[in-house]
Amino acid sequence: MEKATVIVIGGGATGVGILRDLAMRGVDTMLLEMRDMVNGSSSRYHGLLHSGGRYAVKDSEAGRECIEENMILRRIGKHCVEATEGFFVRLPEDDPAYEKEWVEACKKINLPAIQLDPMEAWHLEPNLTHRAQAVYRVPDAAIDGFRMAWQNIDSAKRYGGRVKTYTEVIRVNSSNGQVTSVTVQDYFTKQKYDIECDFVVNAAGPWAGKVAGFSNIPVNVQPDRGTLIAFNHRITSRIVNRLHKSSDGDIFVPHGSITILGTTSRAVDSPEDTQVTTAEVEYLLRIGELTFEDLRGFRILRAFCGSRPLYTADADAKGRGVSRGFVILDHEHDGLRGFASICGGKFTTYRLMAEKMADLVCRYINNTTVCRTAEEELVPDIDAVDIKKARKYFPSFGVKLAASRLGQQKFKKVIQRMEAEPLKREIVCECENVTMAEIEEMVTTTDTASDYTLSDIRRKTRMGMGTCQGAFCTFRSMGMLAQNDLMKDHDAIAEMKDFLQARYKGISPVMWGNTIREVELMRGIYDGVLNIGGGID
Amino acid sequence: MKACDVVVIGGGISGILAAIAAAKKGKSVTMLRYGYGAFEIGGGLIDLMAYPNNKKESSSLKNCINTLPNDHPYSKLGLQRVEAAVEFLLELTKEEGYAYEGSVDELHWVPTAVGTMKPTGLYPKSFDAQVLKKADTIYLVDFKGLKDYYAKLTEKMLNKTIGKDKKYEIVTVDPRMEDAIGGRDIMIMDIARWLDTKEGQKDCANQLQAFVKPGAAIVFPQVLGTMPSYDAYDKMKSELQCDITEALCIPPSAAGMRLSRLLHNAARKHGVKIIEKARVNSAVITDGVCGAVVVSGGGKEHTYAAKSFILATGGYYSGGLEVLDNNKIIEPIFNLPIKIMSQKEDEWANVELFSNQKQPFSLAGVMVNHEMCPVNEKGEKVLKNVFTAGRNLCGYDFCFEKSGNGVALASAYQAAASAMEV
Repeated sequence: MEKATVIVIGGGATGVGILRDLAMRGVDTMLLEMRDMVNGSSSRYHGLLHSGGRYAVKDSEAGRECIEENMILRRIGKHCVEATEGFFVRLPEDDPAYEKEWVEACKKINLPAIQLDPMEAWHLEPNLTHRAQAVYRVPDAAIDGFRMAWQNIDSAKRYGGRVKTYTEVIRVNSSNGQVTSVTVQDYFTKQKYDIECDFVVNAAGPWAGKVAGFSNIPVNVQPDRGTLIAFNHRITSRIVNRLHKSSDGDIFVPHGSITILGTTSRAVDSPEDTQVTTAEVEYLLRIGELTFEDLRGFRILRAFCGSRPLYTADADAKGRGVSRGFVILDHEHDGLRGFASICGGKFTTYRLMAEKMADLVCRYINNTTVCRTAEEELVPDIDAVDIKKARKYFPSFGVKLAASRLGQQKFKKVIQRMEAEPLKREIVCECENVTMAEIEEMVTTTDTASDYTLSDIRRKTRMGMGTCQGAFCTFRSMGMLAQNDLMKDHDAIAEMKDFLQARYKGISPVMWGNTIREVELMRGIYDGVLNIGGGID
Repeated sequence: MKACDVVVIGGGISGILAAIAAAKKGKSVTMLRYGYGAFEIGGGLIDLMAYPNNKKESSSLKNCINTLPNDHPYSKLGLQRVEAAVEFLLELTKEEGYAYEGSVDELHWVPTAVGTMKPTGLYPKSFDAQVLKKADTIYLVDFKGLKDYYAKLTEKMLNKTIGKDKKYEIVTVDPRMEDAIGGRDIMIMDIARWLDTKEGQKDCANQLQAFVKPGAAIVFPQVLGTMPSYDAYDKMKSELQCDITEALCIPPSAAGMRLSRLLHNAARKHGVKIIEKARVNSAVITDGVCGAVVVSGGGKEHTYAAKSFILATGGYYSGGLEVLDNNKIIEPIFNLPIKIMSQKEDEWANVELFSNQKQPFSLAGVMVNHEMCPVNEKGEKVLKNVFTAGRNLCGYDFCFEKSGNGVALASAYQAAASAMEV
């Protein structure tokens, strides 16, 4: 039987953070994810590394955690963070009294909020409305959720951490009130088997209630749906927040060449429903165009949504909140030793959450090593020699993109592949500069033993996430897999359809302007020319 | 002000076919265009109709035209006029030395780069799935370093569509162009241009002769030239003594370029005046009659007057139809009435991108009568001397039905005929 001292359930930011933390303390840890990594809430958000400004008034403790973690993540994860800084902008419709309260609250949590003349703000961000009454700059930053997770995993693996994707935990087994193993099922083969362990960490985010439910332990996690819009333009170079009581649709975050507007908040039954409606998009646009008046003139790339795992403590909850932002529930209180859940929280504080959970696990297994996740960088710096070599094969902006998304080790390997086999330099995804060599590297070092999908490749490389949304690279990547005997048992047609459908899911609620042109092109190629929806003679 | 008999707005397949049809009948024709249409996307095939209602039952146009909805452009035109348009295209391509084949009576199947079969209507003879069915041995030609074609993927899928009982073999030709193009990816167009040349054809045939046994079938990606000529096809066929077919590939399409060149040659020959970079911004309308259209650009305005106008500006892709953010659609030049299936979100787009249903958004467009003259909801003519052709018409889903260039051809031919009667 397979074995690990600690099993972590859930491949989101919290799960990978815990994996890294425990691995660095020398604990034999295995992370199990039911689908692909970073497929839930940790990639379905706006990618804002909070300065704490948003929480300063209503929850100063969360605000303080944010500014502290913000500074730590900039240091350890510099390849994932774009230090854009942020604006808080008060519009005429926002309460001036709140501004005063906010300025005071920021001081209390040591958050530097520097006031700026609205005219100067407008010079710095020309698309910003002229109606701004007051503007403050804060150390907000943009953070890439995918990259952050991969680099946590890379770091964990260097310390012996293990990961299995497409492996769903379907039961937590115990004997005499002590956890002994988990039963898992392989998503592709449907095969079931057990993995022996001493401790199980439930970091399943909005699915945490379901996982605890296997052992009849109530964990009250309410999935809270947040919808976001990705624009195909860098509308602003800084994060722009509305300076008012936190509400829907009041944050803009630039990422590379796109901007994300979010978000909404609505309690839903299931975190699985991620289909956005046009009404939600329209609602967000109406709020967003108060801050950026020409908002509707920018092409929307897609809309998407995820679920926040909001924790509501009920009267029976035995656990103790570590902070108001997140809670750790030791289920020993519920009569099961070796099982704990972590709920709530936010991406910005994932490392802190992981640290607290790892502390609990280590107390339990008598490991006295201290946490070092705040000191050590996630990935080593890229070698200058590799950068120089890469310049031969990439356009210069492509070198930077590829180097920071791959990290030092994988970047080196990809460059080696390109040097050895010139044909592998072919660019499969032109929007995001993803080469055949990179896809091959990702596919051959995948964490899934049985299979993978084009969407998995997308999440690891950004292939298909650019302007054309898969119109060209869907075919190319499938062809490239076939050409290099990496296709396994894929049904190429079904796989391409699935991938395009996943792209279309985010496009269908926003089909107007230039977005519908892209759909027309995509249909023209795959249905019109290649007839992938159609029959056989 | 410049004046002529017919002004055609739009330079895609509908526009250029309408211009040629009118010019051939002796009219003075000016074509105003801003883009080049979708020749290099859709490829050089004229899809007429394959799936009138669902994806499970394919049918030739002749067999299903009576079952199409009333809004469908083919229903407005009727079989006879579509047949006349088909005749016109076959005649025209023959005159230009690159004869197309096919008819409204039957579907013709063509292999694609993903190994599926696609049904079409009119086609160059170098596209033919039948040769694969007949052969016992199928060679798939790949080119060293070529991007956008993966012979192993085609082979894998042909195993399913054509059958496992055949012998498949991939043969790789070295186009020896890595140095010449300086390290960038080698594209289908590079190979097609190479095969435009006698040297390229000879080199390719020589390399293949080493692997290929006569009597087999050979699948090429869509690379047999960029010129409207069967030179490369004939050369390969005679040198290798095999049946040959090209496979449809993702854009840019070499066969689309062949058709584009053929039509441009014909347009020039028949005296069509082509004005490039001419974006029509507005029209001068008096009492339901268009007197002129206004082109602006580069700080200048030019007015083009004519007796009649043909609107062939395309659909969403080319900007002939613009969708505002509340799913309201406008035709930006004449502001013609648009038929929309519904403005409700759940009726604007299907949940599945590819399904057994036509996409509602794809069916929206300009309403016309049998003359291709734009009409309002009551069926009354909106502009007496304007006629519409191609993708901006309502009532058809070109992708689903496989009817895109067919509707373009038939509506353009009719629009030209109507324009001449003004």
